[in-house]
Amino acid sequence: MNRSNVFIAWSMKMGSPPGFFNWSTKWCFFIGLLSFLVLTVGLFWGIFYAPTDYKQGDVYRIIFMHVPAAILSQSILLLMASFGFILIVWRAKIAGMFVRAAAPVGASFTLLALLSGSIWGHPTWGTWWVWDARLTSTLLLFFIYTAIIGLYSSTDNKITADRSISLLSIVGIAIIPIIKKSVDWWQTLHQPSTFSLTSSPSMSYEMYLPLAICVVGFYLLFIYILLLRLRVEILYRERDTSWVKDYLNQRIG
Amino acid sequence: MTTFLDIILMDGYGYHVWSVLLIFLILLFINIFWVSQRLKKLLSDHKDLVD
Repeated sequence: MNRSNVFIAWSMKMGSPPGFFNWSTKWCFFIGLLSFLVLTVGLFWGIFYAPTDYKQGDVYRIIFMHVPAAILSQSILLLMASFGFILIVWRAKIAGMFVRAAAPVGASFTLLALLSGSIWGHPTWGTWWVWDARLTSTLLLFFIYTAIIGLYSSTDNKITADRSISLLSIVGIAIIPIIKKSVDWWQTLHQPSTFSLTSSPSMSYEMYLPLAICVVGFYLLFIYILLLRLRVEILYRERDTSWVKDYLNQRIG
Repeated sequence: MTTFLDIILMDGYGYHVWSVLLIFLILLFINIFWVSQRLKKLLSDHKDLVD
């Protein structure tokens, strides 16, 4: 079997709810443990050992939670839109479940980014909130997530609900470049992006390294929570199938 | 000498950092709790059906 055939076979397996469920059973615990370890190292390093900022003092340490949460809040919507596209084009059932399971996690990370930014803004800007372009566009992102969650709950037909939230995710990604470029396009209180693929970091490596570890840890945590949510979603949707009944029978003994 | 309290309070803004960490942990707990409750309900519904 050549490589493309192996990939197609793997995609088919992952695209079927029982195939994905069995695969996630093996990996869920490992990813959870890894995210816990990486996050512990990153946060411990960032909060206790990274040097104090010469301007902001210790309050800058909020960055180790704020920046990863902000990065994830945007990445999750991009991922949801990608899976939404897969659902609409190829009608893969699992893609709809993915969009549904990822939305509350995305909303949680966006809320964390907003609240941590607000708590950070109070001592550094002298205010909890300003209608700044970056802050306002991130608030809109949070509303998009809540709209996706609300839209899904508003209908009992899960096939229609999946297609609707997929479409909303695809339309919603228009906010991502606005958030990303808001600090360049408008005069804002918010500082320019911390992470850039095209330029070297603007902070010292003693601060940048724990931040990078925290970003990896947050991504792993997202994958872990997503897998947990997705597994329950699969069980709910497939509860009338024999394989789920067998699984539940095993669980209740 | 640096005491434990000095480490916790940092330069006086430590409670800002800790409150963000607390919010993070609360959101994490809500997400995990939601999953466990939904699984619990699914199992109890299935048990009722079997019984």
